[in-house]
Formats: sequence, structure tokens, C-alpha cells
Amino acid sequence: MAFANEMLMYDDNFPEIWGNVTDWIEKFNNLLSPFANRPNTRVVILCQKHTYSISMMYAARDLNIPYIPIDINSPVNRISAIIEQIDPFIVLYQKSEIDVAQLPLDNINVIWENNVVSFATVQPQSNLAHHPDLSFVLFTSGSTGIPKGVMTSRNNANCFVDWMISEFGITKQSRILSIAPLHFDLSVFDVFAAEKLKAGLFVPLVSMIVNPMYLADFIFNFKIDTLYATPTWYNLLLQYGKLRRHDFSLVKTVLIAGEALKTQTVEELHKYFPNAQFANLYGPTETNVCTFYKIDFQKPIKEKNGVVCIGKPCPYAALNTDADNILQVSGKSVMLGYWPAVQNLEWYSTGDVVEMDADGDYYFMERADRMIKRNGYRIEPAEIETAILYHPEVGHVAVTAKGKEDKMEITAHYTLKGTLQGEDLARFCLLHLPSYMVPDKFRQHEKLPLTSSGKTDYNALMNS
Amino acid sequence: MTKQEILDYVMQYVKDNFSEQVKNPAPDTKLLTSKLLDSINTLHMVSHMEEKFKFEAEAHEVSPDNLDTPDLIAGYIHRKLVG
Repeated sequence: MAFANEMLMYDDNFPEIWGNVTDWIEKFNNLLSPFANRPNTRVVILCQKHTYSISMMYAARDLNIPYIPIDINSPVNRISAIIEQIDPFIVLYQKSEIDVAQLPLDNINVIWENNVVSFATVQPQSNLAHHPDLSFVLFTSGSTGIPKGVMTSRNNANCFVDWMISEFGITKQSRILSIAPLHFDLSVFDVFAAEKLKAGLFVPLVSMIVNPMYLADFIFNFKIDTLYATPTWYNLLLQYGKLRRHDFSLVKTVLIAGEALKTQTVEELHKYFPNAQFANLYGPTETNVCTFYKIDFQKPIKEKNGVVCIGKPCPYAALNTDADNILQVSGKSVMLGYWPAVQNLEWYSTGDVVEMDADGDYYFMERADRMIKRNGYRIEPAEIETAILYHPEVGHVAVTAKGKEDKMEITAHYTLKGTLQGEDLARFCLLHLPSYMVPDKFRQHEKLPLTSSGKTDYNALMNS
Repeated sequence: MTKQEILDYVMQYVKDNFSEQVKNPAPDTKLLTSKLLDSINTLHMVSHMEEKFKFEAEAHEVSPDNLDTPDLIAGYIHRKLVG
């Protein structure tokens, strides 16, 4: 059995179980084993990121049981929509964080629990079998208004993790920050690279994860040398982390992905992490990282309009562009498909319009559709619109977004069938959408502007 | 500076900066645990208060215990100022 023995995991949520991660992987392995080798055994993980949930991922992976980490900070409606799609057989949940009685889970049978997590079987609604190569499913915002599950195989994840280790010289001595939530694809690197190398994995306190001062202290105090996060996260660290209070000369690797990266962010970070190698990594959840640009501070940073180049393809990825310059990706990291159907995609179309320079380096220019990136999360405006339309007083709604300083500002434009106050709609959104999807502004209109072809005129709304 | 003067300033700050999120703020309006303010709004507010009142917040102090309502914020700043 491939247990992650000797792996060093420090979890600030449970500092008392330092070094006992192997015991927890074995515990979950024993709990899962009787249910392995069944075509519909899937584990939904309804927990924060900590020793227990990470150990469960390792155990499930070792037994070839797919796992599905769900953002438990999402509203119950959204979590329920994902659970209904996945139809799990096993659930690992955190009692203090979520009331499973509110979820569409039948015949919950708790097999084991401690004071943090509960391991339970539930009654599946169907005999829906998954693809035998499926390793995990990460749910992202869906353009139909319903979250969609990106199915990743073990081989998809391995080729990415192996390349990251080799390209950036990650070793057994590395001390990796584990900052990305489990439902976010950036976490594939820290969780699996650390386990593969038996390197150090350092998990911050969940309740302080949005506190840059705490994170700066955490990086310094635990001599963390490898960081992988979104530009938004690094910008918050720069703006509010009080980085001047520490010497970060031990940081060796600063990896950035998930959103367009501004040159200014890299230049500012380099002042505080002077000894680190920097790279801008690009790729949607469907392909994981498929291009990279290593920054050479001896030369000008390659950029267009202040946005850093996304570089050349990773060795496992082939790139192409269509007639509209939309980037297409092929290769070993491309997902199996969207849950539950395996699509055997030869080329995955990213929806990102790119340009390539004479050196063969790619630049992200814009989205070909309305998709928004905020805090590294992908947001389909249609999902916000669908949620708002559930409000009985709302007639029509259209969501627009524009970059404002370091924040993507989302505005919901709506018409009313009845009476409503702006704050009511904000509260309604908090009940139906993850907080990162909740619009910043709500603008009431008599009617929404239409184009000559009768469609909502989003450009007019952006400028209204 | 009295706690009441700080509270008046905090109330005005919330009205001026978060009118979109908080329609009629009161001293006991829950800003964080009600999710009216997101983490970035909260960090921005703390940073502004540090500059305005000349104190330095520590990592563990940026929490709902100190920042959930205008009244708690004013009490926190007052404690920082009087030591």
C-alpha cells in the first residue's frame, strides 16, 4: 500500500497531530477498503482543507476511489446541486461546518467519527457508474447556470505534478505552502507534490486563510520556500501582509496562476522574495497548467498591456489556435470530460483569445465569452443571473463585470416585477451563491437595453 | 480620543464606503459574520483605520471578535490607542 510515510505535514488547524498524517491515511484507507472496486463508490468531501480531508484524498486516490471536494462555504442550494449530480456513496463531513440534514443525502449511516469529521455511507439515488480512470471531480461555474464537474484522471494529475516537480526543482527538502482550497485546482500541486516527494506540506489555519498578516507570519515562521497561488492572493499579501516585517530570503519558488498576472505584481513580489524563481502558469481547470513563463529578472518581463506573458506549452501539452485566435489545448493533462460523460476530447477549446510572438510565447488577450475571473475563481455570469432570477420580485437580470484596480467588480442589472430594496437582493445572493460570485453592485432599470437583434445589450449596460 | 468619537468615525466610514453592502448601519450591525463585508473590504477597512488612528494591527486581531460591528471596531481601536 502506497502510504505517504515520512511525509511532513504541519496543520495549524490541528497542531497536536503533527506527524500523524500516515496514521490518518491508514485510518481512512481501512474505512474505505470495504467499498472499493465498486463502480459507483464516490467520496464527497464536505470539509475545510486540513489533515483529515487531505488524508482522505490520499486514501481514496490509493484505492482508486474518486473523490469530490466541495466548497462548504457555498450556500446549501449550490452544495445540494452538486451532490445531486454526483450521487455519492460515501461522505466525509465536518459537523461543525455543515448540517448534512439539509442536504439531499438519504439514509446517512455514520460508520466512524471523531470530534472533527464524520465518515458515513449514504443511499445513492441511482447506479450511475463512473469512468474507471476517474480520480477526482472539481466543480466550476457553469454557463447554463448550474455548476459543472471537471473530471480528472490520475494520469491527468500525475503529468502535471511530475512536470512541476522537475521544472521547478521541488525536492524532499521543499516546504510547500498549502493555501488553495481543495475544490480549487491549484491544490493539486501542493497536496500531491508534497506526498510524492515526502516533502513538507504546511496547512494554514482555515479561519485565518484570508488574513495576509497571518499568512506572512506563517510563511516566515515555518520557513516555507514554495508558494503557488493566484495573483489576487499575492496582491493581498503585498497590500495587507506587512511583508516588510520579515526576511523572506528562504523562499525559493513563487508560482502564480489562475488569473491574468500584472507585471507590477511580479516586480513588487520580487522585492520581498529576492532569491526566488518566479513563473506565470496558465491553464483552465479542464487542462490544468498547459503553458508557463519563467521570469528572468535580468531581462525585461515579457508582457502586453501590463499583463505578463503566459509563455510556451508544457511538455505534455500541444497548443493550437482557431480562426478567432481562441487557444486550443491537447495532450495528457486534458480532462476526461464534464461529469458524468467521458468526452475523449482531442482538443479542448479554452475560450481564451491569445496572441503568439515571434519567440513562440503566448499572451492572454481577453475572453471570447462572458466568463469572469475573480480571486482566481471562474465565474459564469449566467450562474449569477440564474440565481437572481429565483427571486420572485425580479423580472429580468443581466450581469456585467469590469476590472477596477485589483478587483473584478461585478454588477447585477435588474428589472422588477414587484418592490425590492437593493440590500435585499444582496442578501438573497448570499443565500444562493458562493461569496466570490455575489455582485458588488445592484442597479435597477426600468427595462434592460437590447441590441438591434433583440439580445441583452451588455456593452450598453457596462457603460450605463 | 474617546470611544464614542471613534465610533462616530467608524459609522461614517461604513456609510461612505460600504453604502452598497450596508444600507442603514447601526453600532450593532454585524458586518463580518453576516457576510455584508467580504475579506477584502475588511482588510481595506483595517488598513484605513491603522493609518487614521496610528496603530498597528496584529494578525490575530483581524477577527470578528474585534471587527464584527462598528461598536466592536471602535472598542478595539480604543484599546489599541490606550494600550
